[in-house]
Amino acid sequence: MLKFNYNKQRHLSLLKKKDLTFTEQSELKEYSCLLDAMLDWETKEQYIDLLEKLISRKIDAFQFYIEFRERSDSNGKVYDSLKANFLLLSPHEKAKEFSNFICEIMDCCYSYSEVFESYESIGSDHLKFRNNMEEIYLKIQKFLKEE
Amino acid sequence: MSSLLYISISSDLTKDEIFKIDQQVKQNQERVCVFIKKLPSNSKRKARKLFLYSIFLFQLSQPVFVTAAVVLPLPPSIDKFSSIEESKIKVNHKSSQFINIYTPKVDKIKLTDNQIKEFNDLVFQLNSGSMSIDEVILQLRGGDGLIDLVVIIAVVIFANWYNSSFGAEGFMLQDPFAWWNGQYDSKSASNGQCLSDPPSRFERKTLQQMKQMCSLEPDENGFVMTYDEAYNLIKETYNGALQITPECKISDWQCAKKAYHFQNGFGIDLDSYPIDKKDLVTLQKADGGLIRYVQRGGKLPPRQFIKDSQQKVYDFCHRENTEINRNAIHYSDKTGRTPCIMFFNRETEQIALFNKTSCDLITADKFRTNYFNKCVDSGQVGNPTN
Repeated sequence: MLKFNYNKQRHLSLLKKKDLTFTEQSELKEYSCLLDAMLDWETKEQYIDLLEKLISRKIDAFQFYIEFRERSDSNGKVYDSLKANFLLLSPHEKAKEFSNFICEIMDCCYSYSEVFESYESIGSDHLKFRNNMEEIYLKIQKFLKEE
Repeated sequence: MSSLLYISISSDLTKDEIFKIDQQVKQNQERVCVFIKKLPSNSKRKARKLFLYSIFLFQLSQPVFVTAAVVLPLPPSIDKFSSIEESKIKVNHKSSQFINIYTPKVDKIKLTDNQIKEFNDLVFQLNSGSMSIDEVILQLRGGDGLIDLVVIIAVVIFANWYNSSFGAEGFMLQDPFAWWNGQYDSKSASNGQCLSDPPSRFERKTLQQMKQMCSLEPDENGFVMTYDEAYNLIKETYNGALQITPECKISDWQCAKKAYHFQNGFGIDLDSYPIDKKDLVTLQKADGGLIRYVQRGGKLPPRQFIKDSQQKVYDFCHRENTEINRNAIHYSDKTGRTPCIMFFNRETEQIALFNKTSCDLITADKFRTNYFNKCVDSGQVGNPTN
């Protein structure tokens, strides 16, 4: 579990400040990552639901890829909107680590994007992609059960 | 060019004969000039190429006693032909000293029955995808007998309109007859773009005949064309590239493939183009990529959209605060570990990734904060898969 000290007031002041020092930039980056992670944490049920649908073969790999990216893009837009309006969320202690799993899924999506977009892949089961997602799903389940 | 064509035999002609020939050539050249000038401004480059070709074709269609003496070889390709210096093929300045015949308004094409048939045949082949524009031009050059100049011009104008205004969907997915009916005129175009001059009643009749010939019905799989036809259509439509740096470029094809990302991550305003977001979403969601999308009759991103997207990426890569990692890696399940050049901007959280070997764009998008940081810190997009 990651340990951190989140100071909402400090985050807000850094967001409003124009000329940041190098240290302040690093600090703001850390806060921004937490806000971004918090959005993934808030929507974790939807991510998990998507993974379960893929594993139970209710959707195919390509559908998962599209819906996952839509979910992620949507969170990205909310993040931009929150930042622009100086609306901040207090982060959950598990948010950062959960977000790393989302990054892992995103990595897989980028690795497979060319496959999904290629003509030869039509009708493929994309078993490797499914297996990767299943592994990540199991890791997420284990992580969520941890105290 | 006209002077070049018959200068070698002029010694055998009387002064009156030379004068007559010169007058005829000059008159027709002026007509072509006015035609080309009236084309949309964004099609100047192609128009010039076609203009040069039209002039050449016209010269071929001159009476035998003129062309028979010409020893100039036929150009092996249109592209090569276009590289001929324009100055050499423009106007015979000597003759223009005593010939001053002008036709200020020649934008109405009057076709005879025979010309209608020739025009229909050519456009039908274009529409069905069995011939590309270049092949049609070649057909005009090498067809049975010499096709009349009016037909050549009609096809050139139509082909040019199709290319410059709508990209590939001009024939397949837009209504070519709407063009003929004036729906894309400045008065009718909703986006304020002037796309063509209104045709005459006679021209509309011609297109009406074509309409009956050109209706496209999807097959049982929902495809309106075969793989090869779709592939060739894309290849012919998106055959260029924008050089970003000496080692990076964005090919039109790749740009079209990633159109959704440009709209999403690079702030391209779709209102400026004749394409909807839903079309790009459909393209993005098309399993099998761009080819399958086209096979299903999907609307291709317009050329101007492609150009503007490429320019956006160009500008992004040349921004002052955009950084470069020349040793980045992209992991793909299809191609494996690919050395890349990564352009990234910490402020906008955008990344443009270029294949170091092919130089072409792999992806360009706005990334989520955490994933952006992960990619920039590791210099890696994607992950080795098991």
